[in-house]
Amino acid sequence: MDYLLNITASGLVLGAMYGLIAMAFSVIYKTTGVVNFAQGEMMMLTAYIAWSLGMTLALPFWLMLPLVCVIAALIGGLVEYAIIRPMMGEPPFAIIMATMGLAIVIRSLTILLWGVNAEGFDASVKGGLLEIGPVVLFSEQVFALAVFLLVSVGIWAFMRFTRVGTAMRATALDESAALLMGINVRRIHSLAWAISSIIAALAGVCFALAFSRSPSMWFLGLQSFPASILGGLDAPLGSALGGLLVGVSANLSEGYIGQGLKEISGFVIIILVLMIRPYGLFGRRDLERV
Amino acid sequence: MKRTMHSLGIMAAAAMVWATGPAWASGQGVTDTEIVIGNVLPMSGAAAITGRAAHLGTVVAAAEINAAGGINGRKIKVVTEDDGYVPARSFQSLKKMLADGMFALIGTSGNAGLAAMLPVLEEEKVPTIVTLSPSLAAVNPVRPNIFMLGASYEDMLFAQLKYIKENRSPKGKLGLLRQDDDFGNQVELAFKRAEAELKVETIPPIRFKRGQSDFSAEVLKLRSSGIGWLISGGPVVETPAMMKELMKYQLNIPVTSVPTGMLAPVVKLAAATGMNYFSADYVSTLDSEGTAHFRKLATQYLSAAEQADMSRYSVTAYVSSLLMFNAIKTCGKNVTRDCVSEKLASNKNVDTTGITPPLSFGKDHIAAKAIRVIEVMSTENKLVERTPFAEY
Amino acid sequence: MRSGHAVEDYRQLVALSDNPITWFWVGLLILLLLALPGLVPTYTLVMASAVGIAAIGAIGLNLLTGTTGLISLGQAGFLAVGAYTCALLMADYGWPAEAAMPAAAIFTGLLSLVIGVPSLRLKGLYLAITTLAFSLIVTHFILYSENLTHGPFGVRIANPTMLGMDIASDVGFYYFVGILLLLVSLFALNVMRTRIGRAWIAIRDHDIAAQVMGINLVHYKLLAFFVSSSIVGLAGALTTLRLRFINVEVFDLLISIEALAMIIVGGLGSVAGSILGAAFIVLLPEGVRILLDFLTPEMKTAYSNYVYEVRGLLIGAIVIIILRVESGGLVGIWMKTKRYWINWPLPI
Repeated sequence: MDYLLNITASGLVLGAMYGLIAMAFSVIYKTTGVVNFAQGEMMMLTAYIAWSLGMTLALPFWLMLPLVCVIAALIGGLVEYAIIRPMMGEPPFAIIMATMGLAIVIRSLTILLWGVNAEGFDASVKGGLLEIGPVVLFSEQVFALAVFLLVSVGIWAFMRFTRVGTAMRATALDESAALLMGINVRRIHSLAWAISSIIAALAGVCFALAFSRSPSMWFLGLQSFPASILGGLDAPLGSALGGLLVGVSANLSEGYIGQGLKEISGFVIIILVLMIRPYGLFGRRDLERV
Repeated sequence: MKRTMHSLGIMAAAAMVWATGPAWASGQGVTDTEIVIGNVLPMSGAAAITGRAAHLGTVVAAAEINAAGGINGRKIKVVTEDDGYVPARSFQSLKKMLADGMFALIGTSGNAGLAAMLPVLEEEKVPTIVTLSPSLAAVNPVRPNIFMLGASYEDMLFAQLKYIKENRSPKGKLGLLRQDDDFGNQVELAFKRAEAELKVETIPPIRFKRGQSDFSAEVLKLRSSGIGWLISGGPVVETPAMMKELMKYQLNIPVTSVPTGMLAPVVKLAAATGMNYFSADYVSTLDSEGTAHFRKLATQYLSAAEQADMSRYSVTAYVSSLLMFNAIKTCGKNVTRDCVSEKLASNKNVDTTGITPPLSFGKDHIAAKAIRVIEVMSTENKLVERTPFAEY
Repeated sequence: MRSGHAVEDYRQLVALSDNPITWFWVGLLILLLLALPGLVPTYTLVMASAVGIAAIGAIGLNLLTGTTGLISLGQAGFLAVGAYTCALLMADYGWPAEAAMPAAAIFTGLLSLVIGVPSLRLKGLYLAITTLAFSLIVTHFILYSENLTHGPFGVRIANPTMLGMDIASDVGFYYFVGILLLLVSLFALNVMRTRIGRAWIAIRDHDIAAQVMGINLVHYKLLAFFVSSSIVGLAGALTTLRLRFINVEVFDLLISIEALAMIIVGGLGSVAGSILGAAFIVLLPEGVRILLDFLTPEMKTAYSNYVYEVRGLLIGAIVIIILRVESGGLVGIWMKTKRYWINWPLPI
């Protein structure tokens, strides 16, 4: 029992990080219909910036975190403005490939600026051990779970109750109608990119704290795809839940089956999901009108 | 149209005849004044830290011998090609160097890169000392021109296990967490050998995907099976990542690692976990008495920035260069690839300025099989040599 | 210089080229390539073979992605399947290269149908992710099925011959790749001007509209997968013959992205574009190196440690620029330039 609980707990921590990035994917997809293949790389870039602020400039954690969020929002907005917006109306393939080009650029840039070696990331939330019954977690892991919960609730409340959130949902539902209703669709798109970048940045900081900041962090982006597909690409909360499911199932498959299934269990799941329910567990079925 | 096709055919045939004639004869990399020694190393990408260090080792060795007038009047020139640790590029880089004229090869990149280069090395009979990462596949079967410096991962890990068994009396079973590639397989050999020869209780080996960063489930599995000591079968940052999970459950147990575990970034990450661990090596550590001569040369011939990039890989590359130069020297004026390969095989007890005991490539074409167990005191950033050099 | 181009019947419209001048230039190019081994050092041939293999792979991918509009991130996986099939048949079952290569191509094509079936319901990025998953699962399977695939050890083959030709030598292999590239190019060009090719283009432009016009989506999408993957599998088999050793590290995930970059840079849906794009991406590090020679020695040493990062930066930037500015790729740029001069001084 002790074993199962601990495996599930660390699976949840892993899942929280997948979930955060999956949310970042779906916030952009829901409002703009674009999938950002550079999400993992943008997460890595902001995590490196956070590391430089926290370790090199030695800013305290509570000051560094909001600063990183602001920088992340700017990066997200900039990418939307410079690359995505001019390409609106082009086939999805072109936009997907542009984000992939961006991904390669960021990956190379990170190594050019910070080198290839992995380094640890120290912060005030790090280092403690917390025992909850039989379950043992590092304080940075609990931090990741807390961030995950806060962001999930925050996104839900934002979409549900605020004026801007409602405008975002309206844009997602029907862009032309939203435009006619006087919603500034362009600004909504920029906002979606900014919010998504902030979520990704938080995921990056959590990951770097729990492991290390390294140039292979971007891979977390790919690993989070299954979470997003599972939960539904157009459902931010569904994606978050998908993250938890993928994280826990990865750990359980390692704990009880082994054979290196951990890293690919997510992909096996999505192949099955895509065959049965391509729009995900919580996604909306698309009807195409010709 | 028909006529043009006809004339095209004739011209093509003529071109074929011309092309099969003696085209560009590639030099063997030896002139009256110069011998070119090649390296194919990861100078960029994830493994760059090892490749750059190894490159510096050959540069120091060449500078030393050139300052002493070269080998029988010929200067040594080192050429290094970057392969980014990608096998297809290792192959391409080797072809490029052979076309430009290269005599012998010291830097041999990773196992897969070496495997992709082997057929060409055999055909061209390039004297080669496998240096960067020991790969038994290169010298098994023994090939006339391929040699290897260093004990296998199996021996290096077994030496540590033996030391731990005798001196630290571990309580609990021996576990293995290994990468699911060729490297991981070699690590598992040590595990099997310990099982058979040391008669220790073990937990079935666990494999993980290359590049994995989270080891929570794996360590929990080990913990529930009663782990008492652990072989880390991860090349670099995986070892500290495993130790971090171990510390979560207060399992301060002996952990063994391969020599990459002694690289500065790894030690730094491990320091955060507060755990000491073991490693082993067939050359003296960079800050010990044995490498004093090499360090002196390095300060003389390398810039400060280059010196900061040095690691054990510089030392191994330096030793390989010494062995290669020695073989070239004993060939006298008549430097051919065959002669050098022959001398590499026959020369005995070559001095390595105290870095290792005197070395010879035996019948199995492997030198430096004597290993020393090292304890990595991560928090003090110190490497402590625990045993003298011995074969296992 | 001709000043206009009037097509008078359908035969002329679908001809490979109705222009003798084009045939003349193509003939000259082929002659030049035939004579190349006498003109350049062997390393150039090694690189030319690398370009040739990449170009065959890119032509395959372009049929699927450029022509039919099905995005694939699984290039590395398909290459691995082809390479391993060829290598294992030769090393473990004693097949000659003449038989192992076609077998590898056909097997890759058949296996791709596994991904093809879900693709009937999936579009755009869902398909991209499915193919990515396929690629990861292939690597996993190769690593863990040691009895069949030698697992992590990789497979080594003896020096191959092909119909009596020594393809282990640089010159022999260069000619071999060249011939195959020519055949694959002709095949792709011809497929595209048949009913099949036009059906694929219709599916790309609007699949529902294509269905309404009587194109059987199931049939043609699966056919696209089969044909494209067979060609990619062939490129994989060629990788085996070239390196004579393969393991999973040869088929890194990055290869899939590079392959997509090739067809975007060269030109989507164009055979010439696939070849140009492959040459561009494969030769880029060499280009970067030549550029480095113009820098000061200090800057050269600083940059030579980052050749592949600089290359990544350039590939990414070029892909973005091409997508934003000239979505036709290099071929598109060439066509526009040509049209500009044909119509000069009139505007296009």
